[in-house]
Amino acid sequence: MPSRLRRNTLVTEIRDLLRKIGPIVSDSGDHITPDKVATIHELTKAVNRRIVSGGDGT
Amino acid sequence: MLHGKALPCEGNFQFPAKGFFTVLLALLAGLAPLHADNPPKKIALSDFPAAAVQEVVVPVPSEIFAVLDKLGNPNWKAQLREGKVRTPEDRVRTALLLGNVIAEGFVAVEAEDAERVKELGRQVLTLAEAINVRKSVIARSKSITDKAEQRDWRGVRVEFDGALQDVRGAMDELNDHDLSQLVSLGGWLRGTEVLTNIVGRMALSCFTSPSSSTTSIAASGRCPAASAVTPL
Repeated sequence: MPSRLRRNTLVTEIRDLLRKIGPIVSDSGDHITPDKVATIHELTKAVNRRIVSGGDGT
Repeated sequence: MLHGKALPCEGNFQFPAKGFFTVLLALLAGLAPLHADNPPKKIALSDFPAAAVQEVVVPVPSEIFAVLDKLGNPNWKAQLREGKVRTPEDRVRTALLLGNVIAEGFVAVEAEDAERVKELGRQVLTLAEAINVRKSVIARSKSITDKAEQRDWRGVRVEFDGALQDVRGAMDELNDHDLSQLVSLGGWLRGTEVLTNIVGRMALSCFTSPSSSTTSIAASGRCPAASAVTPL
């Protein structure tokens, strides 16, 4: 990854998001529960707020 | 059959081994059970073709929403984001936001909100200009407006999809491969947010009593208003 992207705060946050979602899916085996779906929703919602607002997403 | 667009991830974003395509299909996997009389408490991933997808794939919004057509008529308007986005100063956020706005366009199409669709078409043009690919989407932006006025929703969807492809193509020509990927990622993020919200709400309505406050989706006919199912 180019250093200019590696240093970007938003890119870092997205990478963190992806690291969180990965296990949620992997650990689910062949099934995913609604609460995990909800977790993925909250994670992506927070990052999308950051993308739109540029702020802290709150 | 869905056809995802593979991303060359070497050295860039490390996607989970199962791939995000799998995530999306996993979520969509909940659709079929929602039609059943006795909805399962879990969603079977193995029932979906994503299990065979070994490659890391990010579907373009049109593919996501083509599958979402099977959802029937959830409250798409409730998923729409309000307000107009400001063009960021940094290109990374602009690229992510561009993908995000294009995905929002698909939501607006599902909601059949012509004014919102036209506004999003203009936003696509503004954001594209900020990252030097305006020329590639001028015609698309105009077509989005024209087809929204005609309420040609299928046509609008094609134009939003084309805008995404054209923007990515133009960025690749400029050797902005990383930003090009961010456009796709921005679209995926917004699409996933919306999908998980809809699927989550529908699943919740299936797992709760018809007399609860979450029965509006059940009343839509997408989820059985049968006997109460024990919540997870």
